Amino acid sequence: MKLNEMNKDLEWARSVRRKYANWEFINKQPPRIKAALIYLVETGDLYVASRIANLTVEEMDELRMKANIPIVIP
Amino acid sequence: MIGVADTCFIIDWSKYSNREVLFKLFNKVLILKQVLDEVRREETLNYIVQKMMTEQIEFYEPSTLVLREADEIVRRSISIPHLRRVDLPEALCIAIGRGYGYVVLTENLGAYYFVKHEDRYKHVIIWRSIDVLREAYLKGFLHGDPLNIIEEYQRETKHVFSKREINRFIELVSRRKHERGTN
Repeated sequence: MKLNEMNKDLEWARSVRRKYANWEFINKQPPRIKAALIYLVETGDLYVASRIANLTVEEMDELRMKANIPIVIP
Repeated sequence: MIGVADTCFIIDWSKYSNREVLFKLFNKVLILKQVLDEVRREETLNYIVQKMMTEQIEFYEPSTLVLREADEIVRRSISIPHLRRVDLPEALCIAIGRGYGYVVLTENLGAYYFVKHEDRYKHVIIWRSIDVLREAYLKGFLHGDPLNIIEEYQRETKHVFSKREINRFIELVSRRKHERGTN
């Protein structure tokens, strides 16, 4: 896979997450959770987001659903 | 066929109403200790434990050698500019996939791009949920309009598949139908 093709895919995935995300919900969260959700929107990396939030991956995934952040498959 | 699932995949897959098709495709799915540690919800735990009791899911504790290889994968992914990082749970799945030929079940883009980029891991098979849905459909474990199947999975698990992936799915299904019709 070519690098520019990969970058295009990643940028598209990020734009979809940004578009679908419930920003009102995200902005109301305590700082650590808010930072983790923003990281998730920007990168799609649930594991690192869960470490930022100090939660398990499943707990982070529950928050992801509540914040309406999709898992995007380019 | 044996699969090895990472955390995000198994958590989301367990929410899907047609989740049983996974065990029609795979004789067994391995769940690593590091993956099980991340599960908290009672429904997900019950689902996994029930599948362990029927030996469709097997608990697997990686050896020191696998852990070492996974750590190398994480470090390598971080060191390559522009490549997405691979996290430890996915790295463990990739190391097991390479060593034993098991299909890696993950949605993690870092893992997906890493095996395409690294010669040592090029033969590792990675299936994302859309790949599992496609294979299940082609083998006759899922029926009906393929678009409805895709939409159902996206809705129930909050996933978004690209048009390219959806079209690939539909084209493959149409081609198979055509081949069956002409044989």
